Amino acid sequence: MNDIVARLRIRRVSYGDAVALRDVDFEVQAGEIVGIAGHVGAGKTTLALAAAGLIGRAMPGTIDGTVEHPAGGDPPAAYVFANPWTQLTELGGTVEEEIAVGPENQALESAVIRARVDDALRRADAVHLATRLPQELSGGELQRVALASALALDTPLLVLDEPTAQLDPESARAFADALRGLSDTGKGIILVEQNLALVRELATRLIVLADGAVLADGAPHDLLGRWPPVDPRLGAPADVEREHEPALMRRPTSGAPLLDIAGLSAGYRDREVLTDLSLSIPAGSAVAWVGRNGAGKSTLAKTIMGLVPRRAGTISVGGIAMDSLPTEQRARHVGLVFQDPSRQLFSRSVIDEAMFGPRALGMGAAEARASAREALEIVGLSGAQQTHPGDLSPQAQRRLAIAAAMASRPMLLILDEPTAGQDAEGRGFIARALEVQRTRGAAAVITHDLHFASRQCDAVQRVGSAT
Amino acid sequence: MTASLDRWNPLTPLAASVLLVVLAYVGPQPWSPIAAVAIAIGLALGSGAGASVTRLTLLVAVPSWAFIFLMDGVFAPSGPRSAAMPAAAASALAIAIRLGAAIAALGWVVVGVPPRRLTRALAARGLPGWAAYVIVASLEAVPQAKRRAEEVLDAQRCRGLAVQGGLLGRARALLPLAGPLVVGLVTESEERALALEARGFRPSRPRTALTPLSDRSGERQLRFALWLATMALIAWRLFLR
Amino acid sequence: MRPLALALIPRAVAINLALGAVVATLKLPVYLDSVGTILVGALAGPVAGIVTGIASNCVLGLLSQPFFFAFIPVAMVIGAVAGVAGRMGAFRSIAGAIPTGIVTGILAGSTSVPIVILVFGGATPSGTGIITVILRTMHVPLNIAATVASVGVDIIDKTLCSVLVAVVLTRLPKRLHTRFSATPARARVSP
Repeated sequence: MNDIVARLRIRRVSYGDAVALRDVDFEVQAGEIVGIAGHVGAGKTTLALAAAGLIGRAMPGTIDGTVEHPAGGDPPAAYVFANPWTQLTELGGTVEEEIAVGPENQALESAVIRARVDDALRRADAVHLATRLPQELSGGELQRVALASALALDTPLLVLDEPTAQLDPESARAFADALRGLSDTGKGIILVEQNLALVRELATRLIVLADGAVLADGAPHDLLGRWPPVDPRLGAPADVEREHEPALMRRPTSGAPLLDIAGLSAGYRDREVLTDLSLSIPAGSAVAWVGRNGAGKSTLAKTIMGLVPRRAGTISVGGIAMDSLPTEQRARHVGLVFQDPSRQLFSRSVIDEAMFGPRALGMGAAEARASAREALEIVGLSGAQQTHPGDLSPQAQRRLAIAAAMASRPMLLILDEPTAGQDAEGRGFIARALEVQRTRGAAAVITHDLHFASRQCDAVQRVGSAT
Repeated sequence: MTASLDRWNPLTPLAASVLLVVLAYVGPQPWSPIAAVAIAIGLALGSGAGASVTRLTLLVAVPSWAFIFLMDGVFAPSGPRSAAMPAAAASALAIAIRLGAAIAALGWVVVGVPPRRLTRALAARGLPGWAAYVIVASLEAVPQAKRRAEEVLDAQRCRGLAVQGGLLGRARALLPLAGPLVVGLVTESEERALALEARGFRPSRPRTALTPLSDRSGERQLRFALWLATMALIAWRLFLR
Repeated sequence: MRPLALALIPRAVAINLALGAVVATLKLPVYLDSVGTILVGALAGPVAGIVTGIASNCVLGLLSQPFFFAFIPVAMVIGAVAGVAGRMGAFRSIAGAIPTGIVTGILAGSTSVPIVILVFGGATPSGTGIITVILRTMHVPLNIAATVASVGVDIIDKTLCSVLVAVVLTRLPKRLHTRFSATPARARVSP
């Protein structure tokens, strides 16, 4: 079985005047998993969309060259996107109805649709989710629904565009397990992945992109085992990095507490999330808050900001009691950066966005501008001051949100999953932000990225019950 | 709670509801609207939605009656003459009952039939795929957008945005709150469009269904009779009266 | 309809409904319940605007109160005016958005008058209805009272909506602007 399911002969893919991808030439065979890796902005998604035949349709753009799908199919390729929530078509109510949307669009008979749905549910390890509603599911469960929805189209080519980027490690592993079973189905698979260990394990061939062109093409174990990495911006899998660069020394964490929490219980009307929690962060340090999903890490951050009702206990930052202050007063002392920057960006330029917080807190215009510039410099966005925030990559938007919080010069900076989706370069900027924040007070990083935590934080604090 | 309506093809209650609305507005007055509202509430009680439908109906009918009575009776240009009061109250009541009949008849369907099922039934009868998508996806998008608005509020308050204080200050907070909500949702529509396309959705291509809606025996005939009665009422109003 | 405009419409309907919650949080005395409809008109033209208006009132009718079905024509007018004005570039500046809002308000308000009189007997159970009743106590004829109340309220509200749309449009990434304004894209595939 050596059928070609996709043949790409691309000279150029451009959006308007901007060229996103040049000189890509490869074939995907049935049963093969072609991995695509590269730094943020290297052209990975453009390549994935082009391979699936989506450029020029829902995604306006111009392909100079050819993309062929010799094995046919309508549509010729199925696609799994990075965001678990926005790839639902909303046409189905329950999970199985959502999975049925593809075959319904193909105008198949209901018995055939039923068979396709059941088969897809089984392959994606989502049988137990069939009658649930998508809005009740976790990101990891939803990604398996997305995989099932793609499989139900029964296309020769399957394109996965960073399917685990927004998942915690356990969910990413569960997703990888579902993928492993697909190699025997005779599908050709293109897997774009930021998780280098995962792509090394699954892919049969790896193409590394850099600046819109192919940098390397070969065996995954070879390309990702090299040190220094093929592209420093891309980095290397965690184990390779550990092998060649020993972890940094942990700093002493015995300073006076900057954040001091005693006997804290908090939660929503019907549900207590945190019970009798006590912890402190010494001044001059950065700690990682870890714990399973739903353990209350984000709730802790929101309680510190006064967004979740506190039932008992005390919170103080730099000796100042937070407990009776409204959120916008606490913002003077604590900066909280949420996971999704799209919930806060609204300015016309990056510099305006970074100045919003300081100005809202009463800082003068000149001082706010200086502070914002300094913060943008730290996260590597100095050159983008006049750029529209919406024109930045999602990873750069996340760093902008961090800069926007740091521009207000809070004593305590709390970052919620800052490294998700970041490449090695992006993680480096976030490490630098932590370095600066240590001199201004302290930082807490909510994260599933234990590799980052062990290298860039001074201590790991487990939040929530151990169950 | 709506088990008894689930057994029907949603188009049947819809046809009954349209007949009741037409009856209330074009049938012989004043008994037609009274009969229509009674039948609609009765049907709602039968399908377990009596309380919500009655509430919907009263929420419109009672204030409407009060407003019309105030305008035509109490504050009538001729002044509040006690002799004219009962007539004004009665004519206001006639309008309010007609309105109540329409709300109750539509409310019975709206409360009793899940909108997704109703849309699916209409799609099976020729509603284009894009129109069905707009309705169904809108119903999904509303609660998500409300949640998103709360997340935006949280995020901006954490940056120091004050949402209390003088009118001017509160008005100024509108952009930081509405901006990320609107920009975020417009941006999201790009991803949604791609996802639709990737699943083979074409706005005007006919689709099939995993579980096609079926009619109970005699249901088609019943529906035909309901539409026929509606037409007959309208014809009677136009030509025979 | 183009896929991008189609996928935007449900989001716009949700904006119409969710901005009500924002306005309530800020305790502002406005509705702002047509921002999504006007936004779609401005970005994707009159047809998409009209569809958004219809969908918005259908969703309100399904989710909250069937009487919103009666005002579908009004929502269609709002979407159509915004679409035509958008084609003329009216939302590129606040100076263009204000007259657009006033025209929208006049046309939307006038469209609702016959509905209000025929279906509701002159006053809907709402703030506008209270204004009508107050005008009636001053012996203003019903037609005029209902018109003044509807048009007056709509002029203020639709002008605010239009201005907010113009301001938000300047906040949209350039990438999205070009995507909406571009003519339907075709892949230029050359051998």
